[in-house]
Amino acid sequence: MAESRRYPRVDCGEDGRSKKQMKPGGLLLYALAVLVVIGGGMWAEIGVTEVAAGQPAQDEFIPLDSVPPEDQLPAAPLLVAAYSLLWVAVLVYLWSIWRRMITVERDLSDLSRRTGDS
Amino acid sequence: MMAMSTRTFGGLLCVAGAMFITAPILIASAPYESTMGLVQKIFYFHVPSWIAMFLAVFICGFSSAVYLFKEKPAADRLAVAAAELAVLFGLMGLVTGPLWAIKAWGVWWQWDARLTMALILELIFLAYLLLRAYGGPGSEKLSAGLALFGMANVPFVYISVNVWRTIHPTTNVLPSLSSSAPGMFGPFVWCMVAFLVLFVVMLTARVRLEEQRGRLEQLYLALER
Repeated sequence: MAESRRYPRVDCGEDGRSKKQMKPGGLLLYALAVLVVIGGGMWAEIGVTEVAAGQPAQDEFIPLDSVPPEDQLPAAPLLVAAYSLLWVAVLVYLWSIWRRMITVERDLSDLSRRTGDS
Repeated sequence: MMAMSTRTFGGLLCVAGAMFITAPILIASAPYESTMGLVQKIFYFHVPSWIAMFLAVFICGFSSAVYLFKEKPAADRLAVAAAELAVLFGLMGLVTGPLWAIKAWGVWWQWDARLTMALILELIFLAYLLLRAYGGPGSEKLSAGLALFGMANVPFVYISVNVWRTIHPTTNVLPSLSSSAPGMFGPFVWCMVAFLVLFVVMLTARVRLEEQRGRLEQLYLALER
């Protein structure tokens, strides 16, 4: 845009940006969650490497069906979890678009009313 | 696409919903992969998630280039909408991948070339959105530059499994799927189309939101003058 962008809401802060926009939102929380997961993953990786270092090396691939049943993970919950999380992500995102759209539409009608009053 | 009527938009949303609801039936009827068994069925939404993410990244990257060189606000609106979808579909890929990996590989995550580069791609577009949200005036151009770097990362993510030694399967699996596993090909195409329809619906809605924000901004600027 040619002009500097200022998200125009009725309740703007001193710098012209929306107070609502300046609040730490879901995006920031998601960013923090990603960083925590990455940090946790790296930490766990270090732990696994340390544990593996004390064990004799395994030099061949073990087929899944030869692993003892107590060491096997059930696949169905993982599959259901993957599909459910995907649905949740889609629905939450569609809901967030809908919510943001309502806010913008409300601001537009507020502004139209104010413009009509003045 | 962006001037889509409400009826078309609603129709596409219903089509996407119906396809996602029927997808599990097709996936359940698809044959089991011989070594991984049931958990391999995560493939039917894991791969389309990443393809949708790459599509979003390319739309964001090309729109950002248009915005940088032509200064068209419509291109910027499309770019920010696509960036959000890139993060969303990337998140889906990053969540479904480890759920598959823990069963198939015995680990949730592996710091190999493919997985690490895919994570970096997600972080680049997360950075894009953070820049847009908190960067203040002028952040549009900075984020557009970032989107170009993000787009440049995609070919590396794609070929990483062929170039470096990695635990992840190579890119040969998908092109040969129709001949190597015809029973899996139909459900995969179904899921792929479902994701693409959903992608179009979400992108249209998100661009519409950005257009309304632009309208609001113009009204405020007109009021202040």
